[in-house]
Amino acid sequence: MRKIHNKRKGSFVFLTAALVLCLLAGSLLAACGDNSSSQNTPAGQETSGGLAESEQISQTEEGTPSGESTGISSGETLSHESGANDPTAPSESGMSDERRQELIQALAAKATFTHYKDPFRGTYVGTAFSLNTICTITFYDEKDVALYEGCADILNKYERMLSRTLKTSEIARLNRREISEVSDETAELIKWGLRYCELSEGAYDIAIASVSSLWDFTADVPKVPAAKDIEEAIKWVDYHAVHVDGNKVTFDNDYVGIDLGSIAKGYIAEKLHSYLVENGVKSAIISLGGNMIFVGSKPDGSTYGSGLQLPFGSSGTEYFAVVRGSNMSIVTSGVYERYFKAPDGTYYHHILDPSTGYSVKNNIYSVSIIGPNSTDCDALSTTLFCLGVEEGMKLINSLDDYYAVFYLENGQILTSLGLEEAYSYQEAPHEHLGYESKLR
Amino acid sequence: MEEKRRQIRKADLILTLVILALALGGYLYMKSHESVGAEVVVTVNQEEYARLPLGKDATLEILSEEDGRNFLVIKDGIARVTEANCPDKICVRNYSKGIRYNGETIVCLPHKMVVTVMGGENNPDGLD
Repeated sequence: MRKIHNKRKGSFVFLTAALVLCLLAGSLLAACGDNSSSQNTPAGQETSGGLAESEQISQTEEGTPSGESTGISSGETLSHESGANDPTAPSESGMSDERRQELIQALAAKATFTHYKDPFRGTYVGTAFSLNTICTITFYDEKDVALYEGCADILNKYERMLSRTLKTSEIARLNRREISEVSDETAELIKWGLRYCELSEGAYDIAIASVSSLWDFTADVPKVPAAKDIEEAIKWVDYHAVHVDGNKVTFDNDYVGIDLGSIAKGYIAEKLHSYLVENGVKSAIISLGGNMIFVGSKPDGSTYGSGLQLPFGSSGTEYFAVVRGSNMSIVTSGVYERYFKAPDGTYYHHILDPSTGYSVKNNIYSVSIIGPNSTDCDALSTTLFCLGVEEGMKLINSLDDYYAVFYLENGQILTSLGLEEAYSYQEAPHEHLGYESKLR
Repeated sequence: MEEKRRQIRKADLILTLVILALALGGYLYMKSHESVGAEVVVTVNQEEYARLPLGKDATLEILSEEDGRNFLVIKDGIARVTEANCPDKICVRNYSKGIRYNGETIVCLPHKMVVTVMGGENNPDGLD
């Protein structure tokens, strides 16, 4: 009897010791997980693009998460020299403004993708800075990663053609009347924009460069342009003064200028889309500052799910509704993307009214368009915002395959006919926020 | 009989301790397994600048060109930019809830700074 008791006792002691060891191992692992060293390397002091080390530049980016980019062209404006683009940084390095601008231009349109593998989703995520925003292309198949370079080439090509901020772009040179012939794509895009000008009877107007060049939402202290400047500039906002004949673009006067900021991202996204499909990509997600294209279906054949950004909510993570689909584009124009508060307490956002020269004044916080072509979605999001809810709904309901979601100032959400069926639209629980919502 | 009862009670005690140890060990193992891999990766100009664990409270001042500064705070498994000297401060005010799930990002365009959560949990809503 005694022998058996000793054996049992011994085995119990052994078991306890073994498990105490497990306990120690577990807590050690937990401690290790928290203690991994953080690499804090200082930012590299690299110079690129042929800058001499003594030259410092201050580069103002006009980044818009999605929708509009209105801001200023770094070239001269046509109606007058706008003070909005004077670099406020003193030229301590002794560099002239002109040289500074030259260098900024030299650095532009050289986007490259850096990418990493997301092992948890099994996707490859590539990001590049281009078009004054952040561009992300997500692949599901490793072989598609080879296409990032071609995608960067496309971004650079179209930035050089269509950018307002690039002094040497076709649009900038066209607006300065240095050229009157443009490449096929530029002509195509101008015509595409003009169609929406006509559809909206001018509520949406791409000939708004004289006004948009007055506003700078990315300045250190954004200011409302002088009333007299707006009064002068607004005279030249009229798409009727723009004529496209093949590759030739002519204007009725010397002052009207084209701003493709509200349609270019969608167009460029579609160029990327075509490139990917041509190269056998079956599943991918393109995001140009939030201008989305979901390519094909997901590898398992299911639809993509995307949230619609909650106005004034946390960017990219807070949404008020979900849509699902394949081969779909989603573009949103929202006031919260770019705005500032003037000294008198008024808020000015970046979606400009072609009839007043100031921010569109209505009860809309955002318009999201869902449909098959991103150029159309991009143009429609601004068009509907400018038209307002009533006229906007009329227009979108008359267009097959395109749907809209209006998020209003008072929290009301309105959807156009057929959206629920076409894209499984579902509202999601959310807070209602506004300009004055405090940081949480 | 007395001896047997004492031994049984002792055996019970050890068994209880063993079960508790198992449970505790298992819990700790799971907990450590969860936070391993959840990292906050900071890039400036598309180059890796810093990498910190999401599970440990920390702060980091991120320096970029032209005296650019973004102040990153990791607290309770959420990463936020609480201060920045960029003109528009979108990185501070448009990401009010911070980021915590795999793939989520905070972007400061003027400073070409991106903060990404890599690893850890996926957003339970499962959106793409």
